[in-house]
Amino acid sequence: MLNLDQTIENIKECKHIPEEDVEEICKKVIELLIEEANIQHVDTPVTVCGDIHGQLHDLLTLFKTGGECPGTRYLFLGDFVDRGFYSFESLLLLLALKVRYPDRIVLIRGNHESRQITTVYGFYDECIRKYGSVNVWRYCCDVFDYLSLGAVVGGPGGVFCIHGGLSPDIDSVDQIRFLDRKQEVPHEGGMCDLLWSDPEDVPGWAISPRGAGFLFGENEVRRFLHTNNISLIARAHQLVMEGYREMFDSTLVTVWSAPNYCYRCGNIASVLSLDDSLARDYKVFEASTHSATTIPSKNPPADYFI
Amino acid sequence: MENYIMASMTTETTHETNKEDAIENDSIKISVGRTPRRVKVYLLQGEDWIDSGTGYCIGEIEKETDKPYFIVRNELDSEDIILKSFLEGTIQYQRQQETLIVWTDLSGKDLALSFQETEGCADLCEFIIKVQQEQYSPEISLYYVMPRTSVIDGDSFSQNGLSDITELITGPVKYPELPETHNLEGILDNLCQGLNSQFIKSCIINHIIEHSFLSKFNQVFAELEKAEDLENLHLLSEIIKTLILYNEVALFEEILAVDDNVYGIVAMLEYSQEFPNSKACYRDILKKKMNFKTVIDLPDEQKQTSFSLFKRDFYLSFLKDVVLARFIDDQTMGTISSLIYFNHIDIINFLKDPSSSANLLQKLFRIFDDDNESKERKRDGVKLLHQYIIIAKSLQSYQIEFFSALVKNGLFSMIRFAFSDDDSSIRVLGTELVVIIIEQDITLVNTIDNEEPPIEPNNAISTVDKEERQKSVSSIRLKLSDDMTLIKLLTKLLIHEKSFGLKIQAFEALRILLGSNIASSSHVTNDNDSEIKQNFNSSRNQQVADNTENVNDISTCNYFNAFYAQVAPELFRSFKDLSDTNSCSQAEVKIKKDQILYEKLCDLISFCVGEHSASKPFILENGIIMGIAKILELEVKPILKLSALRCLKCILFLNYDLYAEYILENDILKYFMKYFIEVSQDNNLANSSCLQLLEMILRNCEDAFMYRERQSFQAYGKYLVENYRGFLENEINYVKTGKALVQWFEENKTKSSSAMDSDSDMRDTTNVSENKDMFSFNDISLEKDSSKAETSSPKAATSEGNSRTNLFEGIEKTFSSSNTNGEKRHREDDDYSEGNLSEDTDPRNVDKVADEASIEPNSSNETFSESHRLRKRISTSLRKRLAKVCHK
Repeated sequence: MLNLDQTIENIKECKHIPEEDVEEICKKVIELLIEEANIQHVDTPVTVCGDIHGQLHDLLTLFKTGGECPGTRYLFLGDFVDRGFYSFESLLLLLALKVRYPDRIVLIRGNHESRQITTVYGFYDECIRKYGSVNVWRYCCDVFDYLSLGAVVGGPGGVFCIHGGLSPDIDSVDQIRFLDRKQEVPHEGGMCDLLWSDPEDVPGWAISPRGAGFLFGENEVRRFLHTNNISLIARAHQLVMEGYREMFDSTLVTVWSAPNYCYRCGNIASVLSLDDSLARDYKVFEASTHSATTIPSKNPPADYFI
Repeated sequence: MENYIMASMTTETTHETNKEDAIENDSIKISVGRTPRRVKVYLLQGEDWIDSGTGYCIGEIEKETDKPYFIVRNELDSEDIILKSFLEGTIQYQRQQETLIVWTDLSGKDLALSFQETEGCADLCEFIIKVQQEQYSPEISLYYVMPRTSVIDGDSFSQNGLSDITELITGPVKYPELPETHNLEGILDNLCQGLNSQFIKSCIINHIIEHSFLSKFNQVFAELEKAEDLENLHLLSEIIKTLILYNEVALFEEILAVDDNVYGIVAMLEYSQEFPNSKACYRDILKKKMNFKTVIDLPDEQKQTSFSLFKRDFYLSFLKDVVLARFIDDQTMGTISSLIYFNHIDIINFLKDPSSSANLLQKLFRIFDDDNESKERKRDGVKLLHQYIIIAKSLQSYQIEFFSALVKNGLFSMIRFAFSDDDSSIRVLGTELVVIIIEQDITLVNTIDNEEPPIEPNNAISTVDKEERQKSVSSIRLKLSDDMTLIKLLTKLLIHEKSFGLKIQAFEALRILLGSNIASSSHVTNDNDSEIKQNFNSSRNQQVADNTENVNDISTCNYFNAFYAQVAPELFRSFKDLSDTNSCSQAEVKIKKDQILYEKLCDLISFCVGEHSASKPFILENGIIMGIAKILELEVKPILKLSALRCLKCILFLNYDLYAEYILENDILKYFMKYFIEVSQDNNLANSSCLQLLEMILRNCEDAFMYRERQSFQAYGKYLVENYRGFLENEINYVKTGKALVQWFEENKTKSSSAMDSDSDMRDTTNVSENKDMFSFNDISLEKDSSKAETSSPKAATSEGNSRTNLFEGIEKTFSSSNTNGEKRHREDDDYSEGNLSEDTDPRNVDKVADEASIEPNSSNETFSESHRLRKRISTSLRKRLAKVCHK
């Protein structure tokens, strides 16, 4: 039987978690996620976090900076996996916390929570290396399909939280309700854009250099805020060296929570605390230094056969 | 991946040959720079560049003094020399913007040559390089100044100001001293200066290799470690990191060439300035892991080559994943990955070639036929092959040959063992093997069901035997594959296996086996040149030439029919039982007991109905749609209900007449609505999923006036409004869709009846069941070939006897009688006709209809189609980008 508290401690210490436990956590988290709306309504106060990208030790620093869960309520804007060496542990920690404290942590989907992207950017390889087969990767990808697409913090006049940004197909938050989100992130359409788009100084919409999603300008942001009675868009998806960056007269903010991204970008990270009056407090933090020199940065390969 | 690497490799080799050519020509001094190039000469005076005339420029070497110079002769008068400037002293030349060379000569004059063509500029730059590198003026240097191009990756980095990059192309190089315990700081400084110049990097790496720096580093390291001189150990570690970031293949080759070098590098990198208080333990791990598990003993003469291949693979991935992972950049990572990639090709080629590997594969599979072999060794054998198949998986153009070599040598005895092993991890590996192989080439695994193994694994094979064998293999592969042994095996796994992971794997494997591309997958092999493939292809090509596409069609048809005759009835039995009032309670118990299984089975049906039309008779005859719909009212988990709902959607959106008939006739939408009502006040996935279906029906209803083929959606819309009007109008007031549907119904009563009438005429002549470009729904692809549907279902019907034929006839009949089925709907149609008479048939009405359709519910059609067009472009670019990413 799964001992969740113990498992959470084990994940934090990077201990091997039995495959059956992973399976059980994934199943339980799906049962929770299936009951969530495409756009979740989240109460204040809450701490909003950007990309994590498998940097487990920095995720632990994040919790120290923002306050431990469940004491602090968290909203994670996706991109838990890929790039870093502990994608699996980072994701599993968040999922385990979700199962343990369903009301204290909200997870939404990022563009890396996808089968296609994870096979290219590391999570898939990491799962095979750590478990010898693709099964745990499959369990995790099943979870990805059930993740919410976004959140609104604080009701009318509140903060719209999304991984990427806006979509030309979506004028109102209510429209998002029509998406059957249980699918691989499509290559186009509203759901894709929400996870892939970026704000940029462009008039209206422009083609994104990423090849998916769009670039959207200040006017589109203003229109969206007005239509939906929203005061701020909080998103992640782009590395910002200073950890967070407000744009368009502070109507949009990019929050980035992976310090020293890829272990070499030299950036700092931040989380955004929103209090009951939606006042913003950015808490910045740096890469953890305690991290792993005593253990290899990635697990060595399993037995080699000839 | 290959393409990218190949490209970079070829450019490199051309570079090499260019250099060699040039060196040969150098016996006649310097060959470049001799073609007169049209150029404008500028001189800087104060702040302004003054045009000093236009002429032709060449680079020459003064015969008497061997001094190199540029000379520009006036284009109008070749006697008039505009400029003669010696390349001397420590002059620094800069190439800017492709066509400019700028420098300050020894007298302090700022000069610039502006070339008419890029080639001219490149030619004279080449002259500067030769002059410097051939020691005519060894102290001069040349820099390129390039605008920085932004690199876009899967993640875009928020862009900072882009500044120019200056790279030294040639110039005097300061080489590091030979390492000793006291001069490491100087060496590190020296190396760091080279980081921005490819030229300096390759010079220094050559120097380092020539002077055996690596073994000297090892000696110094041993001394330092003994003396526990941390400061210098950290410096040494930084030196190694810097060298590795030079990203020179030559250095990696030098490291890999000698075991001691690998151990040395790994040892030095255990220390790090970043973590001064700790030390990694790479050496220990390396030693521990280097004891490879040997399953097959190779004869001594092969041991050396093969062992070095495997060792190299192990070293490279150990370096990449463990030792270097923390600090190397994407480029260096790419270089190491390509080294690994090319080594993998060597490994796979080695394994599949019986002469070099001494029939290693054959020996491996023989283990599984030997009853005296220990289970342990057999299991290790499975693990071993799994490891190589994972390797082969990434080598697209090599894997087919390898996989066919596996089959040829007796893969199936291993698979039989793996499937029936009581250790579930071995079963997992076994299924994974099968999945990977069938993903690549289905025809290979179809031979698995052959009674006789393709090879008699008992003795060495003469050449004649070999040929025989190849023939037999190719003939097996051509056999129309209606044998269901593998599918049955996987079905058994899916149904009975307790391990969740294995269940999922069996599901994935079945999905591949039931995909529509299964017949075409053998065509992928055309670019393959192995003997066996050639045999295979030539015989196939002949047949193809004789009988064009029929070979494949018949083969898939038989194959799928076999599936629906032999496997599907058992696999999907519970759905059938559930649809029948007599057996439904039993089925209910079964479904409740293994909800994951039935969730997967719903997914499988979603997949099958979209992939191949052979599923249609089966689906209709066995009440599958009813069974699926009834799941919505069972007391089961939402995850299963949602899977059932998705399956219904897939069937609906196929827009297939007979399905539509069935759905309306059997009140299938009733189950959907019951569920919808149940979740109508939630805001969760179930609610969104239902809303989406409703929205799609609405949109298609509106479209139906422009496209007759959406007729079935009109019928659905009508059905919903007639039976659930109150709910649609009042209960889902958080969206407009319900009201919009009712509105559509009200406004188009008249239109719809006339559209339906005229439609029935169309029906006989056009096939409207599979409208390819309707839209794709989720990841379900609509039927690829509608003609296939037409050929296969009647065929199946006639072959299966009367009951089915009657059913089809009946349905066809009702359809031709103006899409009415049953008296109730007949009457409604009459109502419509009456309405039609009494109501205004003003053409303005039609306009109004079109208008309404374009305004409601959310987005106008213009903007939709506009963004749709934009999207088409985007998705192509995304695909390209992903392809590129995958190739990196």
